[in-house]
Amino acid sequence: MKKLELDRHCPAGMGSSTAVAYYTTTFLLGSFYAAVNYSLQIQRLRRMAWDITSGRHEVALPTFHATVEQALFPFLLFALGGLVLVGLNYLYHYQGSRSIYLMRRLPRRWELLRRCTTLPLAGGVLLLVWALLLALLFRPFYLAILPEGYEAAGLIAVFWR
Amino acid sequence: MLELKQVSKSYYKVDNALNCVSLTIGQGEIVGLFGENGAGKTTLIKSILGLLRFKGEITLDGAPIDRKNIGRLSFATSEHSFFPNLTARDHRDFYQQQFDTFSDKRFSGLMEFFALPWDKALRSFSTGQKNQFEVILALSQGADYIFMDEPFAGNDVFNREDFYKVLLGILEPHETVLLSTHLIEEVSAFISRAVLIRKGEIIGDVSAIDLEETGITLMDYIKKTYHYRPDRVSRALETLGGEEEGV
Repeated sequence: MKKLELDRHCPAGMGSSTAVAYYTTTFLLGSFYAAVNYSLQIQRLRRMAWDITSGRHEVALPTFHATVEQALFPFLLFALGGLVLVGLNYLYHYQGSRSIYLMRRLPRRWELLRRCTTLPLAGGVLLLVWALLLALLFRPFYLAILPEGYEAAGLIAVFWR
Repeated sequence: MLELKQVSKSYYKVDNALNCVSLTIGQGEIVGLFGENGAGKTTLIKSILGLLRFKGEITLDGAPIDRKNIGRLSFATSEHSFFPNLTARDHRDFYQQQFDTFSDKRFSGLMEFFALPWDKALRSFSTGQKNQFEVILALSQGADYIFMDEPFAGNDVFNREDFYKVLLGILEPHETVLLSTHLIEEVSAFISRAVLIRKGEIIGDVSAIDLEETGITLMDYIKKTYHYRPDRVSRALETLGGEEEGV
């Protein structure tokens, strides 16, 4: 997508670079954290699964939901962090001038709101969708270490168990 | 016709920034709005533009001012309402997108007249240039009612004189200007009406024709209405001089 097109959804003159930098960084950080965190958890689960199958301990394996939640939790925080961007976008109209006066008297009622919220909302939704995709990607690793007797229920049921 | 009925506005710790102001402004008038600092000039203009909440009623041709008719009002302020990071050309594009009535011809003509750069960000303009650009935007929006709040603060006298001439030259008969300024003598030659405001109340409203007929200058009218005491300065100097002698 062209940068200029993104700029049309930001406060005039502010540009999309702040929002793009925020979401690129949080996307990379969140993905890295999720991969590392989930790998560590899978290793721990594998040991637990081995204990179960060898009959050494009576332990209960954490659900997939509980496992993946820890790995993906930062994405929720990052998405909510977009609210700060909304605030920054609004405050931008007080910097160097009072362009807020112009924005508030435009015939298009939602122009100010649109320019303040579009990218933060879109970025937040994209982060959450990416988190969901990661959850789907992570799920086979969990299923692979499930010992016999730990039959996986339907996909959705396991997700929300 | 712009009509204000019993408009009142209070701020936190400031009662009666506007106190039951009633005012009617017809099309084609050039109205000077005069008053001391804190009299309520800016509050009045911002209330009309919907930038402040107020009590009372403000209508434009009988209809309340909302998104349907807000485009008929434009605003130039000494605080500036442009985007500092955009160029003049970007502003033209933005205004064209937002206001169907935007006049590219007037915008280009005024840009040329004031010799302002098209492709420099507004933040790099001088104060005078910023003021000029703010006024250019207000005049080019295609509004019927043009509000200007101290638009020349920081401009030199030659700049201001040029602007007055241009303003008079380009205004269409249906265009109305409400000009809030302290430069009473400079604007007295071309305003058609003077409105005086003090402590949130309209204390004087006179047409240029009435002033001409009575032979009073605008400045004298304002001094009289404000109960200005000509001996104020000499008495103050006497008192201060006395104090210094006493020391």
